[in-house]
Amino acid sequence: MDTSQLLRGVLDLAVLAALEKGDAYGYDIVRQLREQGLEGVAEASVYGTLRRLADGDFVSSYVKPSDAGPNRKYYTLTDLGHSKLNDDGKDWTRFSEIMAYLLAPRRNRS
Amino acid sequence: MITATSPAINEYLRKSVLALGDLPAPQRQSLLEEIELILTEVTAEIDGDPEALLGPPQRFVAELRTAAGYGTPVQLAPTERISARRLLGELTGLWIPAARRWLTELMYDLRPGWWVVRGYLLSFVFTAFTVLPRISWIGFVPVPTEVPLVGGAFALATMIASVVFGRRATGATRPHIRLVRLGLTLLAVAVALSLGTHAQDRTLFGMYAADPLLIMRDQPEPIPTTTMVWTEGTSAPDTRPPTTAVWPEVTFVPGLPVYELRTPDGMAFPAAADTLDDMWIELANMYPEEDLMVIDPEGGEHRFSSVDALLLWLGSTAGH
Repeated sequence: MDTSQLLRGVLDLAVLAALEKGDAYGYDIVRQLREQGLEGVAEASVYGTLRRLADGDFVSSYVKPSDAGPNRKYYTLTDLGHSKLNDDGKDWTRFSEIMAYLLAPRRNRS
Repeated sequence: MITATSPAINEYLRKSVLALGDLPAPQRQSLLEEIELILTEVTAEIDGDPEALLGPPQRFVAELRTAAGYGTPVQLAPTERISARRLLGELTGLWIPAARRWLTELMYDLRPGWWVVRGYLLSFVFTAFTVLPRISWIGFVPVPTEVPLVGGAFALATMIASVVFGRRATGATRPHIRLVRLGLTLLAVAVALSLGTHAQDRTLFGMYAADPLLIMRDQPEPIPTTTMVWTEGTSAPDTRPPTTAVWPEVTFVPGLPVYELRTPDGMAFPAAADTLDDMWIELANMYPEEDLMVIDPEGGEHRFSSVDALLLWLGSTAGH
């Protein structure tokens, strides 16, 4: 199955969840998601998602100097972002439970 | 590491422009800046060519646009040609933003310096609210108390506070922080303008005040200018004990009316001027060449170009 299609639907949630752990810059989020198992996530998708979340005031950004390279644009969750993460997180949990329930007989058979 | 000005990044940006051509100019420009930031960030993390790291620019931009909610790029038909005007426009659109980005980065790099300057300037503002508002002309350090060293420490503290605030407020998007930052900036600029206006006066007065002012009393007696004080809007003599161990302390409040310039035991200069600023200029221009001056009891002025000449004159006067 092409997981990129699945990922597209939940990338907002994944990015918000990554930012809940702390402020991070774009590539840092890409790295976090890949380390958590979303190896197929593309840089462009994460950066584009961040931009859309920023347009919707779910995240805000600030530039921070870096000792190891150029200045980096850090993102942080806004109150609206926290609220969205909470709501969407509940939806996703419910959805995944339904899917797990639907797939359970199949898993038992195999 | 590939820098923001590297040919590889510029080439990637140039190709990216073509995939943004159907967007309105502000959106296109904004996305282009975003792409440059991404390229800089990614190439700082992993050494390599942007195209090898992120894929072909057209595909990268298409994915970025889709994820950002800006729709997919409108593909040009294979037979469609780009007009020379449009191409020129696109290329010009690269140079002007690049210059703007360079300027923005330069301003960003200079900000720590500005924070220090802002703290220094603001130290004068806080000083103005102390009981004895004054600005020492010695080294242009604000003096909120009688001790100049405290003024230096005070200025240092405000500079450090300004730097700390500057670091924390960097990139802040919260309205109240941005408002505070704007207010501090305007205040600092106002102080700078005020100081600039009076800098020349201070310099002139400093040259003058460095010379000892000698007053003839019953016997010829030099009175160092360290005992000379300004009285602000009052004829009451200053009761502070005279000190000869420090430089002259001169109260400086721009625009505040000053009626008299006094020594502890009598008026040295009746003020013809309305304000301290005017008096400063008047005093500074009064004796521009003489190093030393004596006023005798009849009000006669005697000027000397050296201490030896003065002592010689004092000796001859005392003999009479």
